[in-house]
Amino acid sequence: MKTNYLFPHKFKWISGILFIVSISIMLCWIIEPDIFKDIEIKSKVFAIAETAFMGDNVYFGIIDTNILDELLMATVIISGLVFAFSKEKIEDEMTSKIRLESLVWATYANYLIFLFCVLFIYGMVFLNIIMFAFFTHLLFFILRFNWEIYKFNRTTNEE
Amino acid sequence: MKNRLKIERAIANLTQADLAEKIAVSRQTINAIEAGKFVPSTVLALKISRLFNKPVNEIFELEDED
Repeated sequence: MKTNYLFPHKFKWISGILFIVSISIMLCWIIEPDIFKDIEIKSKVFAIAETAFMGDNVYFGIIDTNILDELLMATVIISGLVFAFSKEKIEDEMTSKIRLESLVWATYANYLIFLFCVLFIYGMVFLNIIMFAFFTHLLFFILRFNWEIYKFNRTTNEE
Repeated sequence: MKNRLKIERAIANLTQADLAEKIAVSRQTINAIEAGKFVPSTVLALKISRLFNKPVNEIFELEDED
């Protein structure tokens, strides 16, 4: 009855700041990949699979790679999930309802826009669209939910 | 669904915030129930019923379209 798969409210602001910062960097990077070409964090990591442009493919091995994008993407996903699914200050059935409706709205919005792009965008730029679509579902949900909660919290006092 | 929440609250001399605190929801949720924008769960309806010491049927009532 009490299970709701949500994080405590105290995580909301810290994850929110992290999410806004990391997704902004992420989106800039998708649009203009060259901005980080001078920053590299080389590291040896375990890979289940790496398909190389040149040379051999690696399966279940250790590879040498720039982990900047992995770190950034992990930050976006983790902070985004925590921010999206933190409890509200007063968590009740009305906030659950708003959360559910926002999730439905965000899913429709994301896939309708994606469908539009599938039909009308061709070539290499479509790869960017796929990258965007991956994050925009969460982003749309977060924007919609927080907007609806903001409107709800502003509903006027007493009669 | 119609409800007499506002009236019951006035009889008991409670503000929306008082009632909200007693049944552990936000004040805005009480406001939404009174405005007919939100239908509370059975648990919440029973909590309200217990608080006002009246049967649920006396506070909440089905309408024709329900």
